[in-house]
Amino acid sequence: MLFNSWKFMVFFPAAAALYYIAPARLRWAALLAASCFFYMVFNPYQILFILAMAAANFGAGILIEKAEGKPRRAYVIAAIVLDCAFLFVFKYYNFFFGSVSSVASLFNMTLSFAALTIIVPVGISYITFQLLSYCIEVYRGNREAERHPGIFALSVLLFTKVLSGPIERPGDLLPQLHAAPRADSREIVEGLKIMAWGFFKKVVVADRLAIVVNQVFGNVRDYSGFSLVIATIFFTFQLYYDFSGYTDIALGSARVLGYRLTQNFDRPFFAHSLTDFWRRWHVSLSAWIRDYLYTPIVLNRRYWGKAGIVFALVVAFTLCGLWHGASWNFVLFGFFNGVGLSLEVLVQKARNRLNKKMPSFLESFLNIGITFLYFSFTLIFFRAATTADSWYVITHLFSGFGQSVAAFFLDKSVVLKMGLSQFEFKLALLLVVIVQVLEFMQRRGSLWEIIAAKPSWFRWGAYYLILLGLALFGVYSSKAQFIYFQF
Amino acid sequence: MKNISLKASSLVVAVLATVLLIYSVPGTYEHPLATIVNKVNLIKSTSPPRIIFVGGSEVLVGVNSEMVYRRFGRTVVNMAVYGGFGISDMLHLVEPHVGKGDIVVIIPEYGVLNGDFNSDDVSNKWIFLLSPRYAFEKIYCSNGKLAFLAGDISDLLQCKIEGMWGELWMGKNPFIDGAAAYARRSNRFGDLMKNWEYVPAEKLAGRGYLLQPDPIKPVIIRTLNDFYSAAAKGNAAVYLSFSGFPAGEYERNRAVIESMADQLRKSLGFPVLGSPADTIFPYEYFSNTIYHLRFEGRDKRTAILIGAMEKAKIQPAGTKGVR
Repeated sequence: MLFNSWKFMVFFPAAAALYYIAPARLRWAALLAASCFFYMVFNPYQILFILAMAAANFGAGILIEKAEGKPRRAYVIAAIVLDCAFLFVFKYYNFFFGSVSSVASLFNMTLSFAALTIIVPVGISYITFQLLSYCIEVYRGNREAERHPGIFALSVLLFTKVLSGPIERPGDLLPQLHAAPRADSREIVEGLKIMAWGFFKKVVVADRLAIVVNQVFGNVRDYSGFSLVIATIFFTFQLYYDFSGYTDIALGSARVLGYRLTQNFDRPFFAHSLTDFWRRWHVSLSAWIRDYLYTPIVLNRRYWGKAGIVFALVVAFTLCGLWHGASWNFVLFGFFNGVGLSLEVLVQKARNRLNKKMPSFLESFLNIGITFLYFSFTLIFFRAATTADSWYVITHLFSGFGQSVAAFFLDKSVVLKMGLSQFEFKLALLLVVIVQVLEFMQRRGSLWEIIAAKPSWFRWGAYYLILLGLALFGVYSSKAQFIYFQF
Repeated sequence: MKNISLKASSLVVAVLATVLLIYSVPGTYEHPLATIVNKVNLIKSTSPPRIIFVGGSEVLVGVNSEMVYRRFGRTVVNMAVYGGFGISDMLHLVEPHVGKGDIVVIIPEYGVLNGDFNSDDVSNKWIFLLSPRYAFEKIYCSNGKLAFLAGDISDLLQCKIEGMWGELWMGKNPFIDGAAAYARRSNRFGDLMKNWEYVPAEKLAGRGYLLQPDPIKPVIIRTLNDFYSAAAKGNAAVYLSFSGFPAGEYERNRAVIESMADQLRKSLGFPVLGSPADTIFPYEYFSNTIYHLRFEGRDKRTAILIGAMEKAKIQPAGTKGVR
């Protein structure tokens, strides 16, 4: 039951009604029941694994809290190993042993292993990171262990965020679940607005860009030059609107129920550096990586100086890439982001000097442009089906570039070959521009705060346009999933 | 809360009213399959006795209606657009317009006879546009596709807005595809007038496809016979013929094709023209798919079809005894 399905359109109002009809002290149970149902629609049996993980971490949290000294440390290590083992078996086992076997074959050794044919439980990467965060925070003494098993299970399975995050910290979500908020019409309306905007970004913008991206990246060897550049840049925007659209729906639906989830995006394409970018992009994941991977590694290697920082960045982001999926493409995506961040650390002084010499608009333009293009480059690994395809795209991005640019503007069939008519292509570009202009305007407050300050005809006009855009320009035939759903 | 509900309801009503307005105003649709709109207009605007061809894109590009017209002196209506429309839904669109003395020649592609006889997901919306009630009942409700209806209507509106946009900013005939490009690309009978470029045999789409060794489903036979019964009541004749096919593909699927032809001869209540082996051509006669004949192949195939029609004693217009 994806957010952009008709099933969810029926499920969500029913779940919200059930939640608000239930007595305040039992709302958690109503929401847990709805969340279990939501999860079981994907696979009725996998919920048992998730509940087992939740139970183990619930128990571990209490044990960690009660223990002192070495046993406390032993309990947290056991919890971390258990969570990572779950994730490894479901997501990385085949990839790991397949890679070991491939390396062995280079040395004329034959290693055979029994491949696992199991379906990866939905949202396991997000759930694992959330549970790890819980145990570590209890261990560090930043958070008391949760004593209510139902609310703990709800914090893991809450349907608004179980599929693709945000990765909630225990200190943010658990207190809200205990509070069981009352129905507040303002919160409900705000939540619905955020959801509508999320649907717009996903269905109208991301899925339209996806037509070009899927066509080109599905047949990379049929394209070269400018077509590959366009598809790569389209994918950068597609990924953003797809994932931020999902996040808006997640945040909006939680808001309807009275909860506030973590903001996952903060206008990332206006970042002035890759470091700034990762503070704005998938915030809940990058903050997790920072707190539980990067910082411990840096502290551990502090006597290495800058080399320690570079080492920590490359290791943390390579693992971040691996978190996205069990393939070398994702590892390379993370690695190149780590390399980019390391380069920024190494040339920071020179860059600051250069920035001071430039007019501020030029500085912004160049820094934003370079950041965007570098991130787009790393996304080639993210999107291409294989490393061979990634290599093909990279080596053919600029082959016959001038010719392909001319053909793109003069020959209508070039755009058509990428899957869109001229009209649809221009519409896609226009939508990207509109959404980015709206994002630019949000530097002084959220879109809804800006709209709320306008006269009522403007406000209602804006809501009308969003809904009309959804009705008229949505891409509904592709039956598209959310990209981050696969992780 | 009541106030907000009222405002939200008004907003939804305003959006739905706009959608309805755009859906209702006249306009053209920029989409290759929108050609079906012109085809239905063509059959509505001509009068019997005619020769009406029904099929997929194989018939759209593979029959020279001008030759058929010259031989039989009857107006020809080539209703074919795309194999994905299936035959069942195409026959539904044709049936109300078949009149006394009309001759309907149905030429299904082998893949359609061998598989799904209904329109595919891309085609459903066009059937809905032309016959909303039928499509709602037979396609969306009975096939469990109701969830796709809103999306399909949205797709139709997008094609229409694209048509409006093109006419507004680019003048007449700016379109590559669809109903708006129909007049430029088709002749008066509805044949697509494009001589497809030569494509090497190994690049033809669908090459190497193996038909399933199953008999034609009873529902397909029933649909064809039901159409014949309805046409016969209006004193129209119905024939079935076979599509042009590359020799290599025919050889690969010979047993299945011959078996299907036998089954059709035995179970249809109306005559079958010729046999599949009559319209087998070298790969060089085809372009982009194994069903698209180029002009040279199209004319040879049409001559064979005319021969089969003559053999079935189909007479020129004005002569008595059509069958």
